[in-house]
Amino acid sequence: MNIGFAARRGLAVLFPVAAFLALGSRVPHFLDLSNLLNVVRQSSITGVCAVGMTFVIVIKGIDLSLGGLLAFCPMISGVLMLAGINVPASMAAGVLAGTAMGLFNGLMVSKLTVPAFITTLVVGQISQGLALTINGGSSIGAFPDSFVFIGNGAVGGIPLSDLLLLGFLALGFFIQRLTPLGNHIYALGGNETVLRQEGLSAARLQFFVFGFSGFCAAVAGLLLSAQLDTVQPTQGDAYQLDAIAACIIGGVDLAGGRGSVPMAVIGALIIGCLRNVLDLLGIHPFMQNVFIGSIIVVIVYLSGVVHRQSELATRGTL
Amino acid sequence: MKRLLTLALGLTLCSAAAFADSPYTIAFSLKTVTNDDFQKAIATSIQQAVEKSGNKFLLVTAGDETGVSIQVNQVEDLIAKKVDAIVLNPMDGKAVVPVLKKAQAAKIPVIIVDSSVEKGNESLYVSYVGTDNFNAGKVAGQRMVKELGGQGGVLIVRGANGSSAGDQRVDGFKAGILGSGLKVVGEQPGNWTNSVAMQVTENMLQANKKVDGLFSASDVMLDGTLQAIGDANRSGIKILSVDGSKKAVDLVEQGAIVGTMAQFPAKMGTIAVENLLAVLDGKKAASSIPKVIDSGTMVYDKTNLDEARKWAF
Amino acid sequence: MSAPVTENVQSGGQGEGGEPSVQAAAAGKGRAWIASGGLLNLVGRNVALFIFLALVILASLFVENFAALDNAEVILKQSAIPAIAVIGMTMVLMTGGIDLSLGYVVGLASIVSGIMANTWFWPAPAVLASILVLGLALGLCNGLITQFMRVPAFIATLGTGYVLYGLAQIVSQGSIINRLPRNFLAIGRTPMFGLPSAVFLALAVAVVFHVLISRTIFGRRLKAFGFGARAAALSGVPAAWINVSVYAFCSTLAALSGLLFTVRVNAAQPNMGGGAFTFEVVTAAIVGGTSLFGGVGSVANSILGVLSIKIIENCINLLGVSYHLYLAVQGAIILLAIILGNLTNRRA
Repeated sequence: MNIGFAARRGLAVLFPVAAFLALGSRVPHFLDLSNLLNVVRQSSITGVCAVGMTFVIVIKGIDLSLGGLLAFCPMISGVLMLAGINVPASMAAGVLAGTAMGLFNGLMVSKLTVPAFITTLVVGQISQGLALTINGGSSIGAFPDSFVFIGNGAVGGIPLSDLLLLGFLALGFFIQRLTPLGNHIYALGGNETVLRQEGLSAARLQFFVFGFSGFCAAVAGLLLSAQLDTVQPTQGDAYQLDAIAACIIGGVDLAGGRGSVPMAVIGALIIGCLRNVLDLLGIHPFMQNVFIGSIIVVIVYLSGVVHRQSELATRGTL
Repeated sequence: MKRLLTLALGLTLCSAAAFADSPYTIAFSLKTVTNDDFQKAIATSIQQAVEKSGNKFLLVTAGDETGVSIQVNQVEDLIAKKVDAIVLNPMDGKAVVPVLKKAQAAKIPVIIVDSSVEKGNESLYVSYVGTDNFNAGKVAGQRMVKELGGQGGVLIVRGANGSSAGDQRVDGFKAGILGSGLKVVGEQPGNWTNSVAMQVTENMLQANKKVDGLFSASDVMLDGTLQAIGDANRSGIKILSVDGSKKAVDLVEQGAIVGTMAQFPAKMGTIAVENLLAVLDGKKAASSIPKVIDSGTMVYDKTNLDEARKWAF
Repeated sequence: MSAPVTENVQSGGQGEGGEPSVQAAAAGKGRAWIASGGLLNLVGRNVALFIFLALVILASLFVENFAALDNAEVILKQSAIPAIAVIGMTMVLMTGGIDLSLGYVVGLASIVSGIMANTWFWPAPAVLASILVLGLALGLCNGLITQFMRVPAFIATLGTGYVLYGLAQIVSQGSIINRLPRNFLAIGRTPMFGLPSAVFLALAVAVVFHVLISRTIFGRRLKAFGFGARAAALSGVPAAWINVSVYAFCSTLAALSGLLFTVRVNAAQPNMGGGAFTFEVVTAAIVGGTSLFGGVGSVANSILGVLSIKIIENCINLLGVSYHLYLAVQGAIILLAIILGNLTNRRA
């Protein structure tokens, strides 16, 4: 991944972001600090999921198990916490469960060549079913304060959720740019001959990528439940498509091999801002869907245009 | 409903100006009004009550039957928007607790309608106005026992998984048939939609050759359920449902169903707005309003069709 | 059909110390065929069919009330409408794209058909024709955005899907329309040979598109497009319009599904179908062997995929599986079916 390309891609996404912020300043209360912090907090779930999803899409896969894992993992942790197990151990159990599901996805994709679409969809449905069965379909809540603080507390005025998102952004970026693992992942998605030359196994990479995505989903689920002080068995539904859309808006290429984690997180923030602005403007719920759909298409179209223009420009100078 | 649209368009056009002065902005947050006459009825009655008193109404729906966090985010945005009061129909009674705390901190009074908030959080809202869903289910169950002469197999078409109102009604129904000779021989979620309700009813009828009664957690699923029964050429199944909508009352009159448990969404709306305005104007102290206001329930059947038509929505 | 049999026969009788007999030789040849993968090859090339047959056999043996004529009727009735939708989705998937607006086209078509039939009192043929035109127009939009605005199909159709959902809600004002006029309901509910006309409509559509894809130049070009737009371009194929046309077909068929759903349930509602239906259809196509990367797919196999899924759902209901685990059990069975299909496929 050369720097020039990343910079160009970055610009392609930042244009709409800048335009958005400029327009957003016309919306009352949008640029209030408390509102902006809220928006980041609301987008943090999608954002954390998008970190994991980026790598999955880069290797030409897709992860549809988010919806189920966002409910199943916190359900495990929640049940343990309510049974008196200490918070860190309960959370670890939930994270482990999600990572295990992710690794299972990786196993299906690498060893049994099941399409990622199906295996992740099924794992999602199974997790969702388990989340519903564990407590007979009802939600559980009223968790220890230390857990709720993660979702609702702030450090130095900045909500913990935002810090967690930042942390995952850094983690994802670190893997992507600063580890050989990252290079191999992008090779798997873009240029498989490199992999073969270095004698690396695609299977191990797939394991890692899907396992990492499951890990991110688990953390996101715990964060969500910390925010809501509840585990609602169907709480994950809304985030499935948003996470994928966030990646695509952020320039991750569905054909594989291209895309960066920070941009995907920005994609998540864009979606969060969009919903927030529509709420602040008091747009009728029926119209909100019309707006969201159109704006997503326009954003991706514009960033595509900018990207192609800059490609043409650089080609000219070569 | 057209007024809603014009109102929304008007708000977007003059978004800069209108928020500073005297008319109150009262928002109603709920899951969705699509394909749900009951929720629509609550929304309409709140809107009418708010606008009649010269204030602004804001409708906020999550647009989804299951995405609880969408509602939480939307209420947070309402707080950021500094609305004056909120009427809330929680998608999950526990998930809204943190955001209710935020509303309280922002001094925005909240009244809960229809679905309840988790016990122990009464201080976070002014009042809860709603139907006792468990009781409604129980009365329906007791009526089913009477209809079937104490013996027989019944099917249950549930609401969406995780819906507390739906779950309470079914639990109530089961409590109502407890101790009688009635047995639940099939139970599947209809997800509050006709196409799903139709498919699960078809399959349940296929699995059980002898079905005497059917309980639907809501009127919204009756179309699909009745279609399935008709297609399978099964007649004589006694059907009870919940909501008390116009559609169901018509079906009672035609004899297609035995009865429906009435809810009074219009009452919920007007009572909620009345109390909110009283608190905002300082005429009543929030603490003086009763915490739970039961908007009532009753069976609409062939014997009280006139009464039913007065209230059906 | 089967792989060539190598004459590397170890006749069965020898191990027992007896002389090799003619029967033993024949059995030996048969075993050699199986050993060299002949059977697996057969299964591997028709995975969808074998999954379907396996399900039918297992269900008939182990699930009470499954193997009954009226149950078969129920399954056919439930499969007819998704079958129509899966045909369109298969074509889109064959070009390497996807149509996430499918479920929302269904909802819009539903409420619009209800309004046309119930509020405007249009005659049934007019409603049918208008809905097909509506679907065609929506599909063309998807195709144009994907092909000419170069927006990835995932986003383009997700975006249009949201827009259509909003439109359906606005048009319906959130309400549903029921008790539709009889002549309108007749489109899908006219009894023919003991089954509603919707089933035969689905059959007709399937035949038409099967012929279109497997026997015409359009079909060949479609497959070429899936395998690589460049390759298709080299062979002088107008790739752009193929891409647009599959989305047009997909939405038209989705609109037809919406109308038939409305007829089946006798209620026109804006949230008919929806995202869940889209996923159901894509899953069916994949169970039927369609590849998400394009180039591979067939109408017949995708329909077998639909039937397989409906059989699984039917069994889950007949067995009275807890409603919470419904989707989970269904998913697990589908996964199993695909794994088995892949295992046999790889040997081939």
